[in-house]
Amino acid sequence: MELFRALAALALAPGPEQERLALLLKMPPPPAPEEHTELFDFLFYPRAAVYLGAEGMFGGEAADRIAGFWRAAGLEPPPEPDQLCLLLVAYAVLAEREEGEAGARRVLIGEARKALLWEHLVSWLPIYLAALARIAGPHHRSWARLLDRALIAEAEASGPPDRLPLHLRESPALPDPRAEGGEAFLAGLLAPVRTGFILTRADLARGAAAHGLGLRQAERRFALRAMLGQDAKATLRWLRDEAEAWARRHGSLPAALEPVRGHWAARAEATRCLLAELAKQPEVLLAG
Amino acid sequence: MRKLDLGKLNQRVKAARAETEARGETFYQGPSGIHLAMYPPKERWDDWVELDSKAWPEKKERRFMLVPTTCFNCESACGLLAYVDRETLQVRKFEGNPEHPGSRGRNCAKGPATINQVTDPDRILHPLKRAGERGAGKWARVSWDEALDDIAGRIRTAIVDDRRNEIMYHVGRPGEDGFTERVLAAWGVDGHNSHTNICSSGARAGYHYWMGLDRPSPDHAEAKVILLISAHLEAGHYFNPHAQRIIEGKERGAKLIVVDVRLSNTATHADHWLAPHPGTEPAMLLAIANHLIQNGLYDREFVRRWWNWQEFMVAERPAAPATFERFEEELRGMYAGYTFAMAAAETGLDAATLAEVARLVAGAGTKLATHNWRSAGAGNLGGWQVARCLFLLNALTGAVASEGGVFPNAWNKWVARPMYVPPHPERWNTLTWPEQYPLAMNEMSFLLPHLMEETKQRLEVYFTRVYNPVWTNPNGYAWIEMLTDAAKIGLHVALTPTWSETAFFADYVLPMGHASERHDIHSYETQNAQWIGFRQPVLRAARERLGERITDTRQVNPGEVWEENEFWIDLSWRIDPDGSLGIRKFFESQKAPGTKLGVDEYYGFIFENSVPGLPEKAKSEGLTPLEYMRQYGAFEITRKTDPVHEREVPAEELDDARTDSLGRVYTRAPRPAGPNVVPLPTPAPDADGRRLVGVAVDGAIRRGFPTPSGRLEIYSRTLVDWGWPEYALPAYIQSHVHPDKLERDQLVLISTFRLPTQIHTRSANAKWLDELAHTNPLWIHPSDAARLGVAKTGDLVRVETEIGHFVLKAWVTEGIRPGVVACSHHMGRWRPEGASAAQTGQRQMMSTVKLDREDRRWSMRRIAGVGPYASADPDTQRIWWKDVGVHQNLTFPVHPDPISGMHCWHQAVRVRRAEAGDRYGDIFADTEKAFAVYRKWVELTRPATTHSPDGSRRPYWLLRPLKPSPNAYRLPESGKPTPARG
Repeated sequence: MELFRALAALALAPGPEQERLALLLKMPPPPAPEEHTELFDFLFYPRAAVYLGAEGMFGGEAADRIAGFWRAAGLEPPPEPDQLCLLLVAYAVLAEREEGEAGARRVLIGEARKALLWEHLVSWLPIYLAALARIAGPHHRSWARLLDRALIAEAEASGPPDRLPLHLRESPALPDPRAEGGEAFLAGLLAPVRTGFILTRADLARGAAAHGLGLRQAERRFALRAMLGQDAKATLRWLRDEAEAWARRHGSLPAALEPVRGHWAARAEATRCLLAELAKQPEVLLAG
Repeated sequence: MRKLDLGKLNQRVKAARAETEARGETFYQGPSGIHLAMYPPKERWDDWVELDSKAWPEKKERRFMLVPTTCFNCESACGLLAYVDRETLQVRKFEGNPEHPGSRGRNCAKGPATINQVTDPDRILHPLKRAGERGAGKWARVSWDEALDDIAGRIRTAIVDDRRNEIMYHVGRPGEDGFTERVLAAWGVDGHNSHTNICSSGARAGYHYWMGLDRPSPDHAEAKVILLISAHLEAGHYFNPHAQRIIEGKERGAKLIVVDVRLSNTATHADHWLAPHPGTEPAMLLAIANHLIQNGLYDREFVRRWWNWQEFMVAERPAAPATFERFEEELRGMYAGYTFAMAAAETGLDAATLAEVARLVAGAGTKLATHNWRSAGAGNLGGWQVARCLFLLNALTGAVASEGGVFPNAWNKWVARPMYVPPHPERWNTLTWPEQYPLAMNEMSFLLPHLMEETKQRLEVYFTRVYNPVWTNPNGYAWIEMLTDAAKIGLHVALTPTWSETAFFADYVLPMGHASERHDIHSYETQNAQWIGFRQPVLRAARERLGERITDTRQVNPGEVWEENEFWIDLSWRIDPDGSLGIRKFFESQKAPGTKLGVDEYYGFIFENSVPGLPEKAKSEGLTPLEYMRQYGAFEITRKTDPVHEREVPAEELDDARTDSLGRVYTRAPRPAGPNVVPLPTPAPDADGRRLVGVAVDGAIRRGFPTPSGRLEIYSRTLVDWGWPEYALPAYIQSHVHPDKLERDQLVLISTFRLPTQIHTRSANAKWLDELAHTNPLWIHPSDAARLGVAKTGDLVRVETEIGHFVLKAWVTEGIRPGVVACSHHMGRWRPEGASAAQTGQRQMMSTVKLDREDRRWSMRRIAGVGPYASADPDTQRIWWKDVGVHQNLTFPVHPDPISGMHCWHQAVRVRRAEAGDRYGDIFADTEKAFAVYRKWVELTRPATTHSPDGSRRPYWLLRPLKPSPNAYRLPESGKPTPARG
């Protein structure tokens, strides 16, 4: 399980340690610090709650659930319990503890490890890593693929969970602006667990450029509102296409990731349907 | 992408990590969560960058040098890392040292609060000399030279006049391993006086009689069952290192049994919380032991091989065959009376619960970790039997020096041999070792005012060092009487970092350094390992890293604060400037003879010669051993000690060896001079002068235990020979607060518990700690409160002891056993009115009081609590608390246990609603009455003069700090006490 610890360390700001690890794992060398900052601090926040929480933000119920898991596993929850590196290290710790035990205690720790894998890692990381790999440089692309494969290998070895992870079972769908208003819809678009896909600032830039829209230099919600304000129909169609592409991508994830794979695919497809409907009557959105 | 072999990658990283760590380097160096901890990697300690939290939201970088030292608050000596600002060379904060084997980077609240002590605006920064009457609160700054010349002159005169017993050093927290004892030995003075008899002598005695060593080292982390007669998870001895290992044990599935009359934080973590009537713990433990004995649930082979059952049979059952089977029969008979029903009746616990706990203990096998240190062992007449009965469970289950069991402390401790080991003194000081207490585990320190008054002896120079007897000891008013009597105390020198109730009555107050301002080494039995820790003046180390040469710690400490090593060396040179007294030679440089020994040479010698593995480890990093210790602060010598008693004695130690009828093996080979000089007892030699080297066990000569029998002593010949045959075996002695001895309206007051965030006198101006805990209400059960008419928490109550009373607030709680009240000893600091606040107070935690005396009747009335004040620290303007508790110890008379010498802290008291005119903080006591109580307790003793079997003052084999030469052990021919003149 040292590999998980090494992969955690590789997600930290580049330094001599990351250079050494990259060499060891035959990966491209780490990039300049600013590339790391852009990737992890501005685009792909390495915090599970952002991708599993109904608000798409730090903290909240998703983070509380993860802190609860740390406690239940007999580990002290750190101040940021859903931080990606910490979750990977916790997984390594549990796997090592499991290896060092026998009998019922080994089974118990094994159950905890499996719960961590499915509930708090596989439930979001394959989607996160796929999105990150699309725009990352060679080092982090290689890191994302390696971590993705390691997770799939663990999922295969552990077998599927009894049921869908709680974060996903409890996740609400993207609000329909016709029923819940434009602001809720707008916020929902930035909560991956609701939409089934991740919308970064880089995605917005790409969408705006593709449709000749201006991208406001502001937080994502403000920028997205501005895009809708400029051309609601084109923006909704672009979002629809994004959802469709993500649904396809989710569908092509390895079968070992079921039932997570199916859930994300279905959620993206539901979002696609709603966006397709809205694109036909964009004025509804503007009215909301 | 090509197919990846994840297993291979995993192995590759694992191997690289193992290789890196084998070199002593850190593999994951980031301050991340890769180890689920947040320690800067040691490779970056010389230049560590952090954002300045005070500059937020600006991201301002600060560069630090991280310099290790050890905490000087409790005795655990946990590792600290001082963050020294590279720009200003100031210490900004303290965090844990991950390289420290005992604390492993973790600290309790007291460790980081060291920064409060260092920056305390009320601390003492310069040598001060009394300017008015003793206790008047008037002081004048003097130079170190003036103070040292005065003190040295008096000591020299006392030595030359052969009045060496008039020199006494009274220590609270030693925080070091033997340096000052060796100073006193070099002076030829039997003047060491520790606080131990108000602390841990009871438990020490219980352990000492069993295994020859007076401290246990439980291996909590590997235990299956942990049985604590203490509050170790929150406040006990070795609290932080033990607490983390107890939790580790629990994580591995260990069951935790906690015996405590209070629902302490420790008890809240327990699988079984037992709250027996105070003092009945031995009955409970013997019932558990009896369960093991009657049901054959003990480790028969261990008992057969390692108990001194044969000695018992020969001495006590001479007519019976001395077979093990017959001993087992006797054992069953001797303990048969300790049934669960009997124990339930004594303790007030449920018999079924006791049976369940006994079942757990029986199931622990050799993985039973037990511990008693203070608690019941320090509270009761006969409290020393608590540890003795507790260890009986280990001795029965074979959980002795086993993984998960209890080790004798010396096997988990390393006291490195220094360059000089002066011989112990030729004298005996009866002020500390009076003839009434030949078996006392430590000096009868708390009796000093009583003994001085009785014997009319005098002290020419009396040092109190990080000790505050006026506040800490029972009958504190008697200490004021003694300290203010010039006929008794010629010169009182208080060596202290902070003001205290005792320092008020000193002639000199000399500022000594805190944890980051002094050198010491220490090693404690915090786990199954041997390690040494190095305390150092961190600014000295930091500036030396930058290339400066520091020759005197005062060059880097605040004000004129000094460290004790350099102080004692300097003082010793002034006592014996020309070397004619034979003292100076112990404080001379070996590298430059004729010059003063420096701390670099002193510790350099130790680290190069007396710490196995350290020179090699240092060399591998390109450092000298001293540089290594200055860099990392600690070194682990061994991990997981083997059972030393099972080691075979090597042939070269068996010169002209003889084995006696009890299997004891004696040799003429001298004891090898090893590098570990941890104090060990000295069992008597055979008639021809051969020393005891081991015991014959099943045909092999094994090292055994350092007891007179060489085995674990279920039967103590020492206690028989010295007049206590009824306690030859672990037994239950009814406490002085046993229910049968209480009046109907009396309750038992427990005054021995600590607050986890305070540490006696030294933490009183640690603002973070003060904010957390600053008062000590009286814990009282709702049923008692209702009976006494105490309506609610906060009501004033008057607690009446044998010699006086105190008035405080009630805290009505179900977290205490009915019939018992409790008040923490950590609070109630005070300073007399009239003294300059800036000079004589720890203003964050000291009430101002009016102190009145009428003959020997003393009263104290609180004039003001604490409040905000202006100082160099703006936080002192933010003090929001007023109430700092009540000093209950003033109202306690001394209760010296006749065997262990331990002060038996528990008090039989009457609690009532405060009377008209009573005010919070009122404390009244009559020291005349206190002396009468003292005399009553002295009547319980069996003095050496009437009970010594061989004309000696004390069994020579027992441990004793500063063990005088055998000649000094002889009682005077007349049988009368030795006069003060030494």
